[in-house]
Amino acid sequence: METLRNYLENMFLNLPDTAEIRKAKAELWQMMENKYTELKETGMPENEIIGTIISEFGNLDELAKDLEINSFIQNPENSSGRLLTMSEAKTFLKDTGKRAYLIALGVMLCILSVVPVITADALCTFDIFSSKEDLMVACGTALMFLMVAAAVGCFIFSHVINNKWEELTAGSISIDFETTQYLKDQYENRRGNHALLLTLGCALCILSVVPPIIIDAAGGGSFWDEFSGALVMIIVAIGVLLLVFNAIRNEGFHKLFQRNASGTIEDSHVPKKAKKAEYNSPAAAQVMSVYWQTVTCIYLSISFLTFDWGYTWIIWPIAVLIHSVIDFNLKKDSK
Amino acid sequence: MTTISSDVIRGYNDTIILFLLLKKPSYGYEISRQIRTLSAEKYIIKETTLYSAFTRLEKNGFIESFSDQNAIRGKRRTYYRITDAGRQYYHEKCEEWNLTKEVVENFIQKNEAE
Repeated sequence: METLRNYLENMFLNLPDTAEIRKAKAELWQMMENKYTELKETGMPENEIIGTIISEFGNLDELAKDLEINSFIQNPENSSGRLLTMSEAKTFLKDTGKRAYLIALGVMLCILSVVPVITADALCTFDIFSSKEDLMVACGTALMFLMVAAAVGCFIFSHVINNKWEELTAGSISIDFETTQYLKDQYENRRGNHALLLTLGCALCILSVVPPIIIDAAGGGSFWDEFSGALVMIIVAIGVLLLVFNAIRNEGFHKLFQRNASGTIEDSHVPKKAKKAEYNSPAAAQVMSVYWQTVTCIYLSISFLTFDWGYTWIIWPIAVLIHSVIDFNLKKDSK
Repeated sequence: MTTISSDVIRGYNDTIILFLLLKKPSYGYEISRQIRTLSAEKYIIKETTLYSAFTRLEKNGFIESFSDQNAIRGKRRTYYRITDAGRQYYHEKCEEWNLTKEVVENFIQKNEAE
């Protein structure tokens, strides 16, 4: 039965997503389903049933005139380039996973690279080490460079692995129905995970300031005072690791989801990122695209000129209000 | 092995469907099945051809579609019923066929030796 569903969906994949075409697809599916049920009752083997139904189905040419899809059937260039197979999609997801690990690890190493130096400095407050200060600093610095080197190694390695997927970003790839469903399932399964990682990552970044506060309040010895800086870095590093890993893995999915010609049935199968706001005139679109950057510039300039930081923050709520008003007046109506 | 002429049958797909709807409304697969049975398996209509005919007939006002109110197994089914205009069109096509058949018969050799 899945085979039949895939067959029908693939046939309709590149057609425009209109009510009439959806109706045609639904009715044809009804007919296929009814035929399947009846043939099943006669005791025909599954393969034979599917073969029979497909061979007796017909093709889109019959429907071309009635659905006015002649242009879509006769111009195969309209359908986007090479078909990505299911196994290729799976490999891509695996490679994206690897890439996510490597880059997240690299970033973490970069952040942590300052920790050896801080630690070395902190350890010097202890008598045993204070005489060997030079050695300590040298060790710390050496470790720092080691970590940076490892980080760069990770970045390069991940880049080389993922070079072969360049064509995906170049954009002439299409995906069949079955693969899209599989990807959608994987994406939804990861959603809980995704939320967890996002929350933990942010929480850790915020909580990273807690150790210094506690150490300061507890009035710890000079070692802890010096070391608290390293603690901040360590906690931030772990938080960032989670955030980066999550972001890259998600990006992998969206790369696959977003190469569809929009407005086709193929496109309707896929979970959507919120569409960017569209504006009535191109001029408006250009201005709005740099809206927040402009506001930030204005905010910073005024604040530095007047040093009245206590009052200049009010520019932000005002900017949000102005944005809403502009949106209301100039946004294109969504269909 | 000879098969039916696709040109000819294409002109009469609509008529065939209207005939099956004369007595009572019906749905897609049921019609396809009846065509197969009544023609003694000599004509098996394709799903796409059938749907194309439904669309055409509906556009011309010869049939109407409606959804099954008492859905079987929770599935809504699309049913079709013939309209008065449909019945009239059907009778016209019947006459047309009879005339055509009469004319063509004049030029067809009989199989049995005469």
